[in-house]
Amino acid sequence: MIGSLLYLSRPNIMLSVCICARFQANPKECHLMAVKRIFWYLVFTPNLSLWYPKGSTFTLLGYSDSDYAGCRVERKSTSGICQFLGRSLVSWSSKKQNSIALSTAEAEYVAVGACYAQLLWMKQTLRDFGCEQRKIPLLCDNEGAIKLADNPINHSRTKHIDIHHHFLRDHQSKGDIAVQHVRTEFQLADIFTKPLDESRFCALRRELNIVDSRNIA
Amino acid sequence: MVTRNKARLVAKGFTQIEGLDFGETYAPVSRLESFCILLAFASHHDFKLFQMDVKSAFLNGPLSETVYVEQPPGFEDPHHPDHVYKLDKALYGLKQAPRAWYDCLKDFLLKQGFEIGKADPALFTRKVNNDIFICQIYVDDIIFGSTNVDFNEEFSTIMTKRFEMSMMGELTYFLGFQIKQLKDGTFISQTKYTTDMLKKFDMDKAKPIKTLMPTTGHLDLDGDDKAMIKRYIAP
Repeated sequence: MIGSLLYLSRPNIMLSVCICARFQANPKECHLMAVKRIFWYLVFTPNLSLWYPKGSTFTLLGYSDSDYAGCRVERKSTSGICQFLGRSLVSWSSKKQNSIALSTAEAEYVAVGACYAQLLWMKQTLRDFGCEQRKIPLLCDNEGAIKLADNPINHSRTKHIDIHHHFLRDHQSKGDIAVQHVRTEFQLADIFTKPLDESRFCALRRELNIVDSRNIA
Repeated sequence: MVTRNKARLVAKGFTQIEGLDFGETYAPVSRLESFCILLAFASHHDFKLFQMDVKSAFLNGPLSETVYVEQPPGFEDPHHPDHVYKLDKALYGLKQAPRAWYDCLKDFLLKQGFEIGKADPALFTRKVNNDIFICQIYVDDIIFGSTNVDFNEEFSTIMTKRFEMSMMGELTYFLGFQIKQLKDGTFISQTKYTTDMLKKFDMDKAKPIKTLMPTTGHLDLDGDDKAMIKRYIAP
């Protein structure tokens, strides 16, 4: 059942599918209920689709968020990232981080790094299309992580962060990206990190331009 | 729905030995994101995308290795039952068939003056003055579009001349995605896949629910908690 859900590239259900997939090695009754609930949700919204409006802007924009120690089993954090071209959601991901973060800033910093790696690839691809992107904004809601990207200072609580996450800092200083702060309520990647209540879930879904295709067509 | 039946001669690729019968087998395919970027680009630049596919694509690729195949059972030559065939071009089932096809298509497109994508080797572009022509390759499916509609005509002409093509037309259905290109933008949905899947698991008549997960009660390894199950059933 999870296998066929994984083929469904629908950004809003991805987090739930991933969480369920973590328990596949030893599934219990409650895990089955969680999978069933995803299906019930699909019964409610079979027509949701991505909407790519024709608009004036065509710039890359990245959102990155994390849920600190979101996994109850291993206490690992979850990265949620998504990338827009103008108002069109073109890429998204939700991933349990490989290492355990010691602070929220560290978890966010790892997510920003992952988001940037994807942006870098997209920037290359867009160059093939003849679009040049400079100083790509990357929105993150954690001041600590932004400061970490700006300053090459080691604090006692951040000095353990692995070297490979610091490639971000290099690109920030070259001006390839601009890691910027965004208020939590405008943080669209929130939906990829943790379960949300109905009103917030629907609001974010709308912001991601995932709409019911029957409403417009 | 079955529209037609197909039969295909297939080589036993599993008997091939690496280094002897095949070398490189890797063939690039597009990522889903490339496809989304292309759709967003087309939507923004206000041009329509078209698709076509190459009939029995893999049979087009010339082989760089020497490969022999036995005569297919039931079709042996009665005068020379011990003879084998030496292959000039790839057959379905050969390990290098996808790569041979990709190389063949790539060489052809490069000869026609296309540029290969630096980040994505399955993307080919051609720029003339301010117009751009783009095509994205997904094995034998080709999606293309241009800011200048004349290029589309030209492209389908040169492709039909070189390969046997089918199913040309506006992009509507690709890799299970339904695509609607409208005046104000583009829809990408998987409604058909979703409803088919719900039917397959006998869930299509199930009661609908508005959210995916309760905000409290995270899943853990011990999943037999009755209170937790109740939370998942509650709307």
